[in-house]
Amino acid sequence: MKESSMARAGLRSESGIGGDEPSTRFRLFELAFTAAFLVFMARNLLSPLEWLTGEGFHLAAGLQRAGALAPFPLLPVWAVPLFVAFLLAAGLVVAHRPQHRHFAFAALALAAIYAEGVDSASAFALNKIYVAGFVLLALAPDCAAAPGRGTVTALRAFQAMLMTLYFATGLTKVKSGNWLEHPDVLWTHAQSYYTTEAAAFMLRNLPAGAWTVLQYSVLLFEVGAPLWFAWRRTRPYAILFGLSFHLGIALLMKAVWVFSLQMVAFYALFLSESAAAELLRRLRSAWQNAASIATISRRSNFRVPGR
Amino acid sequence: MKTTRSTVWRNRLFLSLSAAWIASVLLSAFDAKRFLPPGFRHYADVTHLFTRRVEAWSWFELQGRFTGGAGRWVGLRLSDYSNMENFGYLTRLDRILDDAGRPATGPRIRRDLARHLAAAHARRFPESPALRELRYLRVSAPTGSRLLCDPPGRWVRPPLETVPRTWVREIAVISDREWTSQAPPTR
Repeated sequence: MKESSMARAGLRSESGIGGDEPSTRFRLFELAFTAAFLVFMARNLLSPLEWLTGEGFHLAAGLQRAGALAPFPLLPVWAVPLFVAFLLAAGLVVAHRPQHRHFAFAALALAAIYAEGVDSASAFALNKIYVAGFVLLALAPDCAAAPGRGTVTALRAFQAMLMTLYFATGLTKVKSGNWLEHPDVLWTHAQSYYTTEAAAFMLRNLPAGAWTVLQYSVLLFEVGAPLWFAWRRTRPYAILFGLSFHLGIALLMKAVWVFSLQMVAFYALFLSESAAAELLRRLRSAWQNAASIATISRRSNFRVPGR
Repeated sequence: MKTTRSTVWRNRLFLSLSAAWIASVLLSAFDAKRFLPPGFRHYADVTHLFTRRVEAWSWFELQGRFTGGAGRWVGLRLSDYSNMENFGYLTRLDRILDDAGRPATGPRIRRDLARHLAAAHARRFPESPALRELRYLRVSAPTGSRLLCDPPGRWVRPPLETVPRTWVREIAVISDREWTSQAPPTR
């Protein structure tokens, strides 16, 4: 691609020269984000009839929370396997047919919108982030290129998305919430129907001051995220803190691990190219091993006994 | 790679949408959502999570009166009617019930849910007497109370009889006359 056409297209390489700079970490992010969404869908699909069909209770039109989508039609029972197949097919295209993955991202965006519209009771903020993420992935530069790698422009946009999420969440806690007015906000959130065994242990053993330190460190991390992640010197600490933060949420709050998984997917964008390439290589090798084990076991199952 | 006109436009669209999403989320965080078009307003509302100190954690308890039950209220286990445990240790139905206390839409939600539970009860427990009345109770446990801040283990829904009476409030009682008098909502 010529530099002038790059500029017209709004693309910019890491070196500032132009061209679809290969970005393995962006590819890793695409895979991680898609996998996190499919895991979230799979968790809901443990109760498919309650979630998607008339077997479960669903709020009628006009009864949703303010701002929620108008309810979408429920699926007939026979269509549930088709919905599962739709999700799996889109996931497989992202993984194995990178040249067509923008169609798959568009399909996954539709699935995320449908999941939210069909049942607002099982949709959370992470649904909305998936919709925005998949819409942007479908349009991301380089989708038309065959090698299946993202450009630096797309990489930067999704990095900005993560920093915006942190910053805006922190800001909301200060502006609309009261995190600066009370030193025990986090402590009150820890003692609920989200409380896991680990959270119960902490509630019994941590002094009040420790909860306050945790609360303000989370707030400082979120509000300062654009700086912590953008500045090369603080970035490794930001990554370490962020990963610990999401691990903590997953361990301390029941059922919120799906949100942690979604956020952790964004951290692939901050890996070095070599680390991302190594991780991708290991993932491919693990996938191939799993596939060959599955093939061998299938063949041995079909072997006629006594032969 | 050959740059076509459509590629250029898609890249521009990508950059514009990325910037629009970031601006929307920031406006939402600054409490300036009114400036956003409805679609953006909805998808930008992703930051209002765990923002305020919690004075009390609430959940609903449901009790039923059954045919031939001599007017006795019997507790219903929501996990008998909902398998999706996606609201902490509570079920998807608990999350819906969280909306059932709202003044505007609460009465309709409670009536629709009562109708659904009566039908589900009849399907699931065909030998059991029919559900005649449903009572919605709201339990509000103050944070800092021993039950919440010094738990022996993970959260477990406490039996209603062990909860202080001051924490329990009756929200509504719905009878089968009410849920059979109107047609079920179509969806």
